[in-house]
This record gives sequence, C-alpha cells and structure tokens, in this order.
Amino acid sequence: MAVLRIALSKGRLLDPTLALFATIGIAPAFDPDRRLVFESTDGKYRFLLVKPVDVPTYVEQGAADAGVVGGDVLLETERDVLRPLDLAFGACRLVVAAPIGESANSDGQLHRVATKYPRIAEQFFKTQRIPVETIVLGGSVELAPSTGLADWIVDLVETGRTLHANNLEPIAEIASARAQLIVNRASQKTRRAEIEDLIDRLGRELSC
Amino acid sequence: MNELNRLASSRNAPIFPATLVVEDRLRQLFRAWAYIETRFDVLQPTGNYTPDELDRTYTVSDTASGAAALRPDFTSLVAREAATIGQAVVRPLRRCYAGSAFRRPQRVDERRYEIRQAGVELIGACGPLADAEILSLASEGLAAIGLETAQIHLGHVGFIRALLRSSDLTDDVERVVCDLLARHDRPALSALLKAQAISSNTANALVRILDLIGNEDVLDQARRLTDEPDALRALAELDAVFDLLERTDLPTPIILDLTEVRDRSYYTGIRFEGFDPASGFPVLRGGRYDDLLGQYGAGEPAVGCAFEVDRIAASCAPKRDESEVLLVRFPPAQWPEAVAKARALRAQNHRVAFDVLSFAPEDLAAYQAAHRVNRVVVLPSGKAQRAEGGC
Repeated sequence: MAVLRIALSKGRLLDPTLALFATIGIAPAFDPDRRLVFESTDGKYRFLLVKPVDVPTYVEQGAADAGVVGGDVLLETERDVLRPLDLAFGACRLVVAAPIGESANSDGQLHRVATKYPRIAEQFFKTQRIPVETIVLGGSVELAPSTGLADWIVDLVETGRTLHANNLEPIAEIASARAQLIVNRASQKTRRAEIEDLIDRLGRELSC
Repeated sequence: MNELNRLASSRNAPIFPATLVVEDRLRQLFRAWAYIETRFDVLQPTGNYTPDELDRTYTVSDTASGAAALRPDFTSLVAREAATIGQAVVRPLRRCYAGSAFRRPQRVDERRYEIRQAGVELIGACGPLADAEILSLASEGLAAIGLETAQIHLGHVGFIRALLRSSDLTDDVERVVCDLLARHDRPALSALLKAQAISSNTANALVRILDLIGNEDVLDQARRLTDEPDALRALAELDAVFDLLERTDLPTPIILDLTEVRDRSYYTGIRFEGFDPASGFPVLRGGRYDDLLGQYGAGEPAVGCAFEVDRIAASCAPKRDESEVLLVRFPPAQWPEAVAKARALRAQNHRVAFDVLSFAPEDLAAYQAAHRVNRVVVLPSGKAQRAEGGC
C-alpha cells in the first residue's frame, strides 16, 4: 500500500499540527526542522512541508492526498478540495485594521488597502460597497500604513499585539478561521478507507 | 547541450504522445461498440451558445462570418446534431468524438485552456439497459487505457434533488447546504441545518448523504433516510442499473456513491465519475442528461460519458507503441524496389520507414537509437540486419 501524502503548513500551524498527529500515534520519523519531506515512524504517512498558501494547491492537484491549512488560506485561494474536519487550533481573525484613532468611514475617499489576501479583501469591500485600491504584499503588512503605502490593511490577527505594536487597531472583522484538514477529491474516492480512518481518529481526539 | 536542455528535449520528444495513444485506444473501443465518430469544427457560431457558456470559452470575430466561439464541449454539439437530423434516423443514435475543447480559466492561477476529451453519447434510449451500456463501455474503456486500478463511482441526482425539494429550505440556504455537502464539511453542515426550521429527520438525511458510498448496502441505507417518492424512484433506477452491472464481469469495479451533489442541474438520472489512484482528478465523467436535447429541438433521452484524455495521459500514461520499426536503406536508383519492399513489409503489419537521407553508418546508428529502429533492410540484397549489429 502506498503511503498517504499529507501536506503540512510551515510556520505557526506546524507545531500544533505535529502535536495533534502525535496524539493519534502518527509521529514523524525525521526532524521536521531539517527536511521538507519525512515519513511517519510506521511508514504509512509521508509529510510534505510547504508554504501555507501552497498546501491547497498540492492537495487540489493530487500531489498530496490531504493537507492541514489555515481557514484564511482556504478563503483566499478557494481551491477545489474537500474540507471534512475543523482541527480547532490556529484560531485567528481576518480583520481590516487602521491607524489607531481613525474611523472606518471617515472621509469617503478611495482607500488603499495593503494585504496578503487580495481576493478576500476585494470581496469584502465589494459587499460593503466601499471602493478601495488593493496593494498586494508578501509580508510585514503592518508596516504599510506607517510608511504611507496604504491607509488600511487586511490581515490575520491572533492576539492583536502585533497590530497594536504598529499603532493599528481592528476596525472590522471579515472572518474567523481555524486550521482545517483538507482532502483531494480523487483521493477521497480511491483511498477512502485510509482517509476516513485518519478523519475518524483526528475527530475522536479533538472531541476528547 | 546543458542539463536543462537535455531534460527538456527528452520530455518533448515522445514518438507517440500519450494523449494520442489514449485517444487511439478509445477510438478502437468506441468503434467496436458501434459508435460512429463525429467531427466538429473547432470554431462554432456564437449563436449556438448561451451567454453563460460563451463566458466560459473564447470568442473570435472576423468581418466575413461575424463572431465564433471555440467549442467548449462536445456533448452539446452531438445533441444539436441529433436534434437537427430529427427522427429521420432511427433511434438510438450512437455517436462518439475525440479532440480538444476550450475553456476560459475561472481562476487567475489556472492555466488549463485546452482539454482533450474522448467520449460517447447514446441518444434516444432511456432505461437501465441504456445506462448499463454506457457504464460497461466506460469500464472497458478505463481497462483498455491500462488503468487497472481505476474505479467508477455511480450515483443518481434524483436522490439529492428529492431530498432538497422536500426539505423546504430557502434557495440561499439550499445553495449553502449543497456547497457544504460538496466539500464534505460535515460539522458546518450539521450546525447550519440545526439552525433551520426543518425536521430532525430531514436534517439527518441531508448530513447522512456523506455516508452513502460503498456496495449495494448503500441503497438500503439511503432508503431508510427518506420516504420521498421521487427519492425512492431514483434509488430504484440506480438499483436496476447496478443490478445489471453486477451480473456481468466488468474490468473496472463500480462503487455506489450518492455523496456527489454537484452537477445536479445538468444530469437528470444516473451520474458517475472514474478515478485512478495515479491521478488527483477524475479521469472519466458521465451520466444521463434527458433535458439537454430539448434545448435544440424535440426532447429525447440521452446518456453518455467523456474520458479526460489529458488527465489520463499526464498521470497514468499508457505504454506507447513499442513495436519495432524497420528502416529500408536503398540506393536512390532503387526507389521503386524500396517502395515495393516496404509495401510488402507493411502488409505483414510491420512499421516501415525509408532511409531518405542515405545515412552514413555513424548517423544511422544515432537514428536507430533515437527512433526505435530495430531492423534495417538493405536493398538490393533485401537482407534484414538487427539494430545491434548496425548496417
């Protein structure tokens, strides 16, 4: 039987993901700090370490059978994958943030919004009927207002400390998101028993 | 040649591109099942399509003929042809096709514009035997391509349609329910249905749809979820088709699967998809679409399927034609004799090429290696030499 390939998000979700898998007896055989591909000690699973934004791509295209990714990435990428399980960790909010003291509807002008999530941002402001110019950044989005690059940002917030440290505050919440288990549509059919076993075991652990 | 060029040229030099091998095998199969191939122009009048369909493909224009669209699919063309010829040709019609359809990517990061498909349509026949014919052909097709571990998942859109109709959900909620079902998001689905003013039985049935996959027990499980007459009728139709399939020795297993809720407005009866562990995408799609022909003329029943040729070729490419090639070498003055010799060899099912460049020995060896030339026939002696020994 071929190994089940699971794409994992590097970064903030990795440690809680590995901890969750360890609780159901799936432990990495190699140090994940040093390798991008490693197998579980029982040889049944192969983990692929990829950038969070790439996890849905790996899974949708069938390079991985399943993956763990933040709900924010799923909202932004909108890949055609199954989402059978909310993993309950990695809770965060996608918010619009502005310099402290600025009101959301202060002047009615075209606002420039810096973000790593252009699709979500554009969709949100469209539903709010607020015209904006979106500026796509790869990181350190909080810098954009203080440097004059943008008026607002749309970003992920866990505690709000980073926002506050950069003189920003949330002015609207777009969505809340947690880590999700995602599954390739074809793998769900061709490797159903193994995938359902994984979902069941994770689900039981999460409900404890 | 650097390493990048070497790799690129090795990838770009298939003697028989896998897509053609797949199409050839499917064409042979379709022919053996008495399906007649229909060729359609790549450019179709835009008037053949609805605005939504035109949004999903490419349009071009010229001053002479006006606007035209790159064909986005084949089934609608077959249906239009069937409607055009009317009932002059006794039903059922068996039609097949193979070629490219064109789709405008729906996402900015998508790069798939051209889709190679080969498929069959059985028009003017309803009932389980017609459905079973298409599914049997689909099963044999997957085997003919060499997908020995493939499986076909068979469902019926009438079941989910009836459950939704009887649930009295608003259109907006129904859309969300179907989105959640489509991505198997059971927790969110349960939470949403709990907040609706519907019976717990109905809510339970909608969530339990995600469990309805497996062997014939699935039908009993599904019957226990509802007493809606339309849902039970759909299950009876599915049962009848599955029973026919079970009584034959199909090379590809059929799995009953009522978990797929997409495409429920296009299909009208059975629907199915084929999967292979080597591909992350369905390699086959099909079903009954009795409402389509009515858009072009008199309505009549139809069922068909399409093989996703490029998906198959990309992930589970069948072995290409490895049969040996004979090269006929001859002095230019001996051209008539060379033609006669080649004709005789081809009549014996050999693949024969001419040495039109009169290769020097070292060039001949390179050509043999590159083009799988196993034997060289030298005129005027006519003596065949093995490739290993040179000429």
